[in-house]
Amino acid sequence: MTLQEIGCLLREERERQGKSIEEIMDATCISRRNIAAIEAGDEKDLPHPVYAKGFVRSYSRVLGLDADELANRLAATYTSEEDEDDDSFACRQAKPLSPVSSGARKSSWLVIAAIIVLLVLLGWLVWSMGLGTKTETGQAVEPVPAEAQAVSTPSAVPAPEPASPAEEALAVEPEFSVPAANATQEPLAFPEEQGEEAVPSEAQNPAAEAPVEPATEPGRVRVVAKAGEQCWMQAQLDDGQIREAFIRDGQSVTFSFEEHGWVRLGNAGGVHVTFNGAPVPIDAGEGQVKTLHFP
Amino acid sequence: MAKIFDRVLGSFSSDLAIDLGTANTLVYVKGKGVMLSEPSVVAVKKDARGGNKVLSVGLEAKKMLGRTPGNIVAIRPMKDGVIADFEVTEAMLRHFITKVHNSRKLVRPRIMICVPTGITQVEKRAVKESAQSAGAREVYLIEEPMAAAIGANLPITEPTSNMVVDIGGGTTEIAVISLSGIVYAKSVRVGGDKMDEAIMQYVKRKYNMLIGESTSEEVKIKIGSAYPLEMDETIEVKGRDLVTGIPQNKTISSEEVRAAISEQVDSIVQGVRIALEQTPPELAADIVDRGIVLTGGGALLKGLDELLKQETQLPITVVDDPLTAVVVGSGKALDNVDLYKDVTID
Repeated sequence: MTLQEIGCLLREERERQGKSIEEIMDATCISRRNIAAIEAGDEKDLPHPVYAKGFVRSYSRVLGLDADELANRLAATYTSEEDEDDDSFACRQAKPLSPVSSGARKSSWLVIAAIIVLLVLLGWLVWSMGLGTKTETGQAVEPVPAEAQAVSTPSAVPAPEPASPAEEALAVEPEFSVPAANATQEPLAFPEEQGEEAVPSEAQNPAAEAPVEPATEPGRVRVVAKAGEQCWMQAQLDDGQIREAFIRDGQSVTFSFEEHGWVRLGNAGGVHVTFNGAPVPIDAGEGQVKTLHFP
Repeated sequence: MAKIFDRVLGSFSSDLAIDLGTANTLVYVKGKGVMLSEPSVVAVKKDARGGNKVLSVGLEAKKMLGRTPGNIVAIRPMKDGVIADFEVTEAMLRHFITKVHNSRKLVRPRIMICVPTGITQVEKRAVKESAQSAGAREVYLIEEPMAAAIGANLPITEPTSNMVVDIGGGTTEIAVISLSGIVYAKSVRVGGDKMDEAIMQYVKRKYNMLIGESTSEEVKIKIGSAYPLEMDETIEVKGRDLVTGIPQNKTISSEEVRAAISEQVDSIVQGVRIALEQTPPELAADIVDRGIVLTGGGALLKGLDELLKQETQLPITVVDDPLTAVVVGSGKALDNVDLYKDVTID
């Protein structure tokens, strides 16, 4: 309800009751100018909305109308625009005075603080996780060959695999084309498939890519460098110690072990490898890194 | 470094505005509105070693007022608008602050507290220190009529005068405000409490009956009036007969209550008249046009606006929510601390 409507309503009610403006002035003590302004709905002549609302309230009380109802209706339309003025005034005043703690500045502070906190949290998370995996699987992950990871499922997957969701199983083993049956079949199929493909499911149970016959007796691995080639190698034998060697131009090196070990070749294409006298085929180019596991 | 730390933490704190009143304490939380409105009463229990332990604060403590055994005292730590009991006030403030600022011990809020006009330096210091020791990071003081004017949305920054009468529990603040400053202010140490006392005295004299503070406040709120009403109301009052010593009921009419509190009402009217006399003529001219704005719980006394209108021949406006006007105003001042910096006092 606008001031005009309320003014009209009040004037009509006053005239209906046969009261003059003077009587209203006596009863409410509101000045003639303000009463006239209310009745005419002239916002410019009225003082601030807070006062105008009070005037309308006491005026309508004198006429026996619902004073609060009218005043509230007026406030709904009349106060808002003035308040906007007040706000703009506040802004005008606040800007030059307060570059420090205006709303934007404050929120930027909040954002900065939040970012710092997030970064710290993230850093801590990464640090603690990195430390955790290192201590947990430091020995287990390292020996897994880089190529083996690409070709077959790496050691990180096997644990969840038996119960893994269908899609993951599909991506890893395309042979299992019936996803519905997977959940039930897989635990059964898993060990068999492992043997077939010789997937290194754990570092403790290594399998070479090359079809090497399982040997129970102590093994001897001899690595001979081809002419004109050189090769760096690393080997871990029974005692867990890692050894390094470097051969060139027909030089050879021999590793022997009781149960199992692995040899990492820096230049797999440039060496001949024999295991217990039998040659080990290596399908690798010059300069390729390859890790061979021996049972 | 400490300053930066405080600032960073400060952006997490929600600042508070507190109307530390004689009768009620209201707390406004920045961005949330009035979160707490409770009587300024603290119940203190004395233990065997003579130490004091705060038993309850606020509404709960008010129920105990006058109903306590020997080892419990229900105290109103504020008297006449200022702190009468420093430690208890501090305990009360701390309770209210933790209540609205729950579980954020690390972050201390900025607090704006309203004080009556013309309080002494000692009294200001008491308010500041008790707020600080109750956990405030920074304390601003604002004069009650100024806060009331801001809370009532009056155009205080304009070069026209606004006359505000804030009738609280302990004091009545009368002020003429223009251009964000107080042109004239007067604090009359008469308020709702004095009226309650007057009603107690009246009932004691007339009916030989003792009634408690809470009862007399209830009488005042229900049927108290400053100006003859269209309908005379009555209320039953329970108390103890002074002659026989037996509890009994008496019926009191609003006319009697009016007579009982007339002295207090008169001193408020007198205060307003004096303020009008002291106002410079240009500002007085504005007041004729705009009239007087009433805030504070006392503005709810029936017929007070009518009486003031008769006495001053000025239009009287009672703000929409007189009880919270002061605290809302201080909240607004806190929201725009920089705009209203000059309305706060040291």
